[in-house]
Amino acid sequence: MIYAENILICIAVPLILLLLFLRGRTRLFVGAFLAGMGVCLLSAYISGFISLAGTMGAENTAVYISPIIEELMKCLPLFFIHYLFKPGEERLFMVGAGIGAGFALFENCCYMLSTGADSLTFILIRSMAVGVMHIVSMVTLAVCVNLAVYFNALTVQSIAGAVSLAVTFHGLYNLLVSRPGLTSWIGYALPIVTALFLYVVFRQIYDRLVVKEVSEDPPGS
Amino acid sequence: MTASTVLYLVEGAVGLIVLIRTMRLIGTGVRSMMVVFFLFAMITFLVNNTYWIAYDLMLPDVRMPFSADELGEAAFMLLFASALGNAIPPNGVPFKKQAVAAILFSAASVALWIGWSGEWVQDIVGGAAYCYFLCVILRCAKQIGAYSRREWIVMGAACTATIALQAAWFHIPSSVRVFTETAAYILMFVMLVWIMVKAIAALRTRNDPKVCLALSFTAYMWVTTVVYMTAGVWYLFATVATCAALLLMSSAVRAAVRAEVSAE
Repeated sequence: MIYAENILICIAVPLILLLLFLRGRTRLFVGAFLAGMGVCLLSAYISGFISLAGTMGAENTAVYISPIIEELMKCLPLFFIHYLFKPGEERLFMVGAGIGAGFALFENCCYMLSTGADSLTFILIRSMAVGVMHIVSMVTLAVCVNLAVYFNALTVQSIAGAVSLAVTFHGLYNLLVSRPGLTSWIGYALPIVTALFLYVVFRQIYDRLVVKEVSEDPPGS
Repeated sequence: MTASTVLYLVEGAVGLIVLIRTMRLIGTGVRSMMVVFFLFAMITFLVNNTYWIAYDLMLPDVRMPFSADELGEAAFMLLFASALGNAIPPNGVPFKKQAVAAILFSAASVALWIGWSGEWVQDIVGGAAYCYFLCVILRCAKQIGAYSRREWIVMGAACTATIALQAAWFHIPSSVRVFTETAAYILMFVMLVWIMVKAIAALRTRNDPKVCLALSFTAYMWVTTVVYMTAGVWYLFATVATCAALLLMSSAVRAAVRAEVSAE
């Protein structure tokens, strides 16, 4: 057993103090990073509760239910910031990346403390797979929200679509790595391949469409 | 690899073709909300399809528990509804009868799904999105006069008969179930063929693009209903019909965009 709350305090306190000395985008990113860590702990509480209270069992809850809870929890701070502060495309993207990175870091810390960190291969797989997966899912969500805002199409339906994309991507990863063999290797490769694909998409489409044209009037305005 | 997995792969390939066709529309500078929502729906559809294929390959004989797939399915239905709703915005034409029929049919369908599977949460989540999609489709179809009065009556009667035949499954001896079940399947497939033929005819005769949209989305909706309510070989036929319905929707969206561009 590990004391996740204590680990969170240990990592979060220096960052909270750091917030006092930061300004602008850096402060926003560190704030989002902290939110990501907090959300990770809350998600673990909810998943743990469902695992104990439900009938699916711990393994099935981890494979099928955790992605839904984790992605829904991760999207809450993003939408909170979007609706409250309207931070704009670049800052919202930064918030998404920050939440994903904070979530991944805290989850990896807890995982390493509970299973050990003696195998470098295992640690590398863990960091390149789960670590990247949380960032990719949040970046995807932020991009979807930005595109929806750009096209004046940020409705309940598009939010449901964006969240479901993140949930399904996370669920697919969990499903693939839940069984040993070829599928697990495909699962481990999935986040990094998607990250590379997203990078290309950013350079080719997103930057050209949203970021560079942001000064123009969006359609329908 | 089972027959259903192969069909899901085909469905994924068709979905990819539709996605690429829709992306090309965006690439040509078209930025209608309908296209954006349709594109978004197709991306969600494809990711969902990938999840389903992975599950089917890994655990072919295990029924899928509540998972990301259910949310994805609800999401792309909402997005399809948004695409159609944006193409045909409400103009005050009353559609009370259609709305009541949509809610009753959805509620009855959800009750049947729960009765068959015992899965309350996913059937209610999916049923809510299904109900919204059905309401939007019927509103649009009524608003633009996609179906005549006689056709509305026939569709209403067919839906009622389908629900009655499917519900009979719970109350009759197992030896007779095959007859009611087969009757329900035949009725649903006759309806499916009729709806599809009507949509194809509208597209071929270059009917009003909005009518084509409403008819093709209705075809997709009915295919989804058939997929949810059939089993065995009938389910496989319904999956094939899903591919056809996706292509029909894509063609209708392209026709609507073409009409929009030429009007400008």
